[in-house]
This record gives sequence, structure tokens and C-alpha cells, in this order.
Amino acid sequence: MTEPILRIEDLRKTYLVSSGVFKGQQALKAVNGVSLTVPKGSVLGLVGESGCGKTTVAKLVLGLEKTSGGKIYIDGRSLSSISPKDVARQVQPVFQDPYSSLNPRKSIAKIISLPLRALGLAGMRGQWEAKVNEIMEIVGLPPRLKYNYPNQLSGGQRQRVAVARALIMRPEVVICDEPTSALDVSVQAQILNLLLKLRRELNLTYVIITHDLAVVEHMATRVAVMYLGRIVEEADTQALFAHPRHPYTLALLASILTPDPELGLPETHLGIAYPNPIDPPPGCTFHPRCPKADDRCASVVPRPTIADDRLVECHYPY
Amino acid sequence: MSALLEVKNLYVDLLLPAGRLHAVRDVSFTVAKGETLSLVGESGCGKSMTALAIMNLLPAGAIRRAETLLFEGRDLTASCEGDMLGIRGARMAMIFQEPMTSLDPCYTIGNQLEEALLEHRKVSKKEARERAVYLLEKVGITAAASRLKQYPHQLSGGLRQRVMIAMGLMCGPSLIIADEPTTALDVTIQAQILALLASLQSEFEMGLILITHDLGVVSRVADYLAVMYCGQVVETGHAKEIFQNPTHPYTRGLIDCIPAPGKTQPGQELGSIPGMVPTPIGDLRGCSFRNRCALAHGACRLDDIELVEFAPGRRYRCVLSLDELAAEYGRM
Repeated sequence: MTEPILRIEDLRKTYLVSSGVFKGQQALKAVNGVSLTVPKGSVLGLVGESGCGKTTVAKLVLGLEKTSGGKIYIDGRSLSSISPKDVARQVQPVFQDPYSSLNPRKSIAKIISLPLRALGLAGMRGQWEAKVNEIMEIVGLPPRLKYNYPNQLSGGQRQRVAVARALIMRPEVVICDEPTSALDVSVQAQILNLLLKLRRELNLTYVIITHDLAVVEHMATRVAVMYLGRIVEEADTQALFAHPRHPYTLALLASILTPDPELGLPETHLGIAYPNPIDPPPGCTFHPRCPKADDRCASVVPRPTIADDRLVECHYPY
Repeated sequence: MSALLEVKNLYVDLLLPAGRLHAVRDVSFTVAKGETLSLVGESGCGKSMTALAIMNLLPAGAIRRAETLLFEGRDLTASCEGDMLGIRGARMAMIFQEPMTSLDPCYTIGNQLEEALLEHRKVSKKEARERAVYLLEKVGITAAASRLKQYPHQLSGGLRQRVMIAMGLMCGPSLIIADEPTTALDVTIQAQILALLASLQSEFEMGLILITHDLGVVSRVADYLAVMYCGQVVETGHAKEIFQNPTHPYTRGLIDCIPAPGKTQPGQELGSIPGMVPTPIGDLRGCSFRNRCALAHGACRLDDIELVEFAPGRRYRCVLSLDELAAEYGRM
């Protein structure tokens, strides 16, 4: 088997959180032993509720945060052994909110070409301008917007700028953190179509982080479900959607609201309480919300079991 | 059943430096007791402005005109601010989008919940507190009495949204306007909050105006639907019928945009509406959707298009006749 473009082994990130003036610091395990393999050209969907650590994984892979443990390999090379600039050449982000992720005081051409200039690859003005023109055409931005500023652009156009900025380095991996959740539905469809087209044309690898499972099903080839810093289920998209094995995955799938007036509101049996990550429940961290939980779940931590190319971390999988 | 709220030919104009922005144009609808009407559309289509116009909470400089604005038999166009103070919060309440920003961080939950009741009804502090505890339990918050002493930052997003709903219900209003009540929440909590709203609504027989851009949400809870585009209603009717048979090209486009497991093929191109919403300033003659519409032709730019009733309770706004539309959709 060829080396995957992105491989994560037992990744950990612990933040120290102050819980009060005289109480000292407590450890918050945002990412608690995550292993993932992303082959070239595939799309990994990372899903979970807010606070489950999916964005922290993205930050670690981008080298924006230091890991507390574990290894990240990009194209076979350990992230800790290569310089941040080399990381930036291979991994680029697209963030959630195109209203706050673009510098309002820079023109569109400057924003898009920033990675080139930051890495000293820009060369003469004529050279980077040509690259900017090319990438703007690829993502469907009219060239007349080059000297405009972000506030003159619509949400969809801004997100295209973010995609263009990510792609100008021709990275191998693009990490999209909630790429469409700040956008209107009609614009969301445009951006999703664009991402799919770019993947086909440039043979890109995506890690798409989202809580919208309908988007994941549409885009991803493989899905990892995260809960409290751990991956509780991972499988190929079709297998996962056809036959979810972890009770949490089942609840997430049940809560997708597709436009179907025949169906009522789903009952997810989840309760409201997302546990406090500073003080996670003992045993299986999902057991207080799980309809199948029993004494064993409350005391024994489940280990991941791998069968048929899918992983599930549950004592009583479906 | 008599209508709880009747809106007829509502217009809202905003005076901006760039000119007069026609935020809401000729919007009419009715909401009856126990019914849910959903206003759907993209950002900037005027759905929130419609809600604010009903509550008379429009920003300074906005101009509201309406032929009829009847709420429980009272004419809101003739009501002064003093009258509105008696109605707002007491008879109609609004649940805002962001539970993070619409609660006051400096006051306890209890304080904020009791305020409306103490303002509108002659009740003692103790009675107000009891009502607050009762409603917090109703919206599914455990240990309600101890929550009253907490501040908003001590609650999670889902809990805060529940507090917002409880706050809206404090005076027992007959109409609730919920502006994107679940947009800021996780999917798992979204379903719970919607189920909660629906059950409270049927229990207290309230009318509900649900404002959202999420057609998934709409299809599950709304009885009636008004699809808005650029300040106008372009299609309205029974929610079920619209989803089964969308008539206006915009409604159709919106529904095609959404990836739906089982309906759209993974990886397949999603339907999308090209271009973007025009700014409703200046001359707005003709169909506002024409520059994004696949079926647009010369006649679309000529005259204002009427909202035509083509079946009981169903209206649409398009120059093409039903047969022409059906033929076009058949070809697509």
C-alpha cells in the first residue's frame, strides 16, 4: 500500500484551563488519542457536536497548535520534522466564516497571493499576478474583483476567495472547517459544487469538518464521528450511512432534517447534556446520553474494535 | 377559525445613503391559533424585517406601511408605542436567533425571566418566580429553581435557547415569532428545540411564525409556507403541497440546493441558483428573480407580477402560466 498523504497516530491535545481564581488549573483533553489515515484523493468527513475536538484536530494538522502527544505524518514525513513553511505548502485551510477570515484592509489579489509572498515564492509582481489570475478563474471569481476589498463581496464570493487562497500553493491537503455553515443554502450548493469540481480537476485531498451530516454524505468518501476528543466510529460513507453501528452515530443520523414534509421531528433520545470535557464521565464517555447503556458502560472504557475496514468504539454496537 | 394575525399589503422601506431600500414589498399573510407559518428565504430577503414590522421594532429611519395589520382584532397600524408596550411581550413574543447575544450577561436568568411578567401583570415577585420555575421545567430544564440564580454564561447554547423560549412564554402570549431559533445550535439539539416549540405551541394553542432559511426545519414543522425573495412573497401555500410540487422557479431551486441522503447522489452536482440576490434599491419593476432564473425571458422585466391564486390557498408570482412552467420542468 502506498503511503497515505495524511496519517495521524494517537494524536493528543490537552489544554490547561483555569477554573477559578484560587482553584488552579485543570486539564481539558480536547483531543484524546485520535488516529486517522487519509489516502491521496479521498475526502474525510469529520463530524461531531460543538466542543468534541474536531476543530482542534484541524489546528494540530495545520501546525497552528502544538501537539501534546502523538504523531502527524504528511506524505510520510513527520510534521515535527518539517518547517512550518513546508507544512503550509502541503496543507492549507478554508475556514468557516468568510466574513472574519479575510483581512478587510487588503485587496482580493493581496489576500489570495499572501501564501505565495509569505513563503517567498511570489517572484516578480507579474509572476504572482499571473498565478492569482489563474486561480481566480479556477474558483469562478470574475477578474474585475481583483482590486476590490472583502466588504464589497457577497458571502459566496468571499468563500471563493478563501478557497482560492488555500489553493494557490497547490497544496496536497485542504482542511475545510465548516466551509458552508455561514452561507445561504443556494450559495452553499455553489461552494460544495466548486469543491467537488476542484477535487476532480486537481486531485485534491479534503478533510471536511462539519456538523451537517447531509453535507458529509454528499462530499465525503470516509467519515469519522468524534465525541469528546475520541473517534467513536469510522467507516466508508456508504457503509456508515446505511448501517451506523455506534448509538451516537445513529442519533446524529436521526437528527438530520431533510426536507421531507411526510416525516415529523425525530426523537434522538440524547438528552441535552453534552458532558463537561474537563470532567468527562467515567467508562464510556457517551453512556449518560446512550439509550443502550448499562453498568458496564458506566465503568469500563470501551476499546476500538476494527472489522471490515470500519472502526467502532462501543461495548454494544448495533 | 378567525385569524390571530392578519397582515395585508405590508411595505417596509429603509432610508439609506444609497437610496430607498424596499426591504418588504406587498407581503400579506394570516396566522390562526395553533398554526405555524414559516417565512423562508435567503439572507436579505426581508423575512426578519417582516417580523420586526409586526412587532413595531423596526430600526430608526424605517418606514412601515400596511393596508391591514390586525392582531387579535386590534389595528396595529393605529397603535401608538404605549399600546405596543402592552402588547409586545404580553400578547406576542419574539425568540431571537442568537441565544449567546440576546440574553443580558449582567442579570441572572431568574431576573430576566421575571421581568416581563412583573412589567405586564399585577403579580407578586413570588408568583413570578413560580411561573419562571414552571416554565423552565416545561422547556425541559432540570433543577430549574437553582438555574434562576445562574448567569447566561454559565449555561450551554442549548440551555440558553430554552431559556429564551421560556422567556417568550412568560406572559402566555398568543403569538410567538421565532427568528432562526435553531440556527446557532448543534443538529442534535436543533431537533429537540423544534420538538419542544411544537409541543408547547399545541399545548398553549399559540400561533407561531417561524423564520428560517433551513428548508429541512420548515418541512418538518410548518403548516403554511411563504417563500420570500427580495422583499416579496413569491410562493405561498400549504407546506406539504409546496414541497411536493414547488411551482415558482426560486422555490424549486431552493429545494434542489440541499443535499439529502437518499435523494441526491453523493458527489453529484447539486442544483444551485447562480448569481446573487439583487439589492432592492431603485426601480424594481419586473420579476426580481429574473437575472438568476433559468426560465427568464423578455416579459419578465416588463411589469410588476401579481401574486396569483391558482389553487385554494396556493399562490405564486411568475409571468409563466402553470402549464408553461410544467412544460419547462418536464424538459429539465
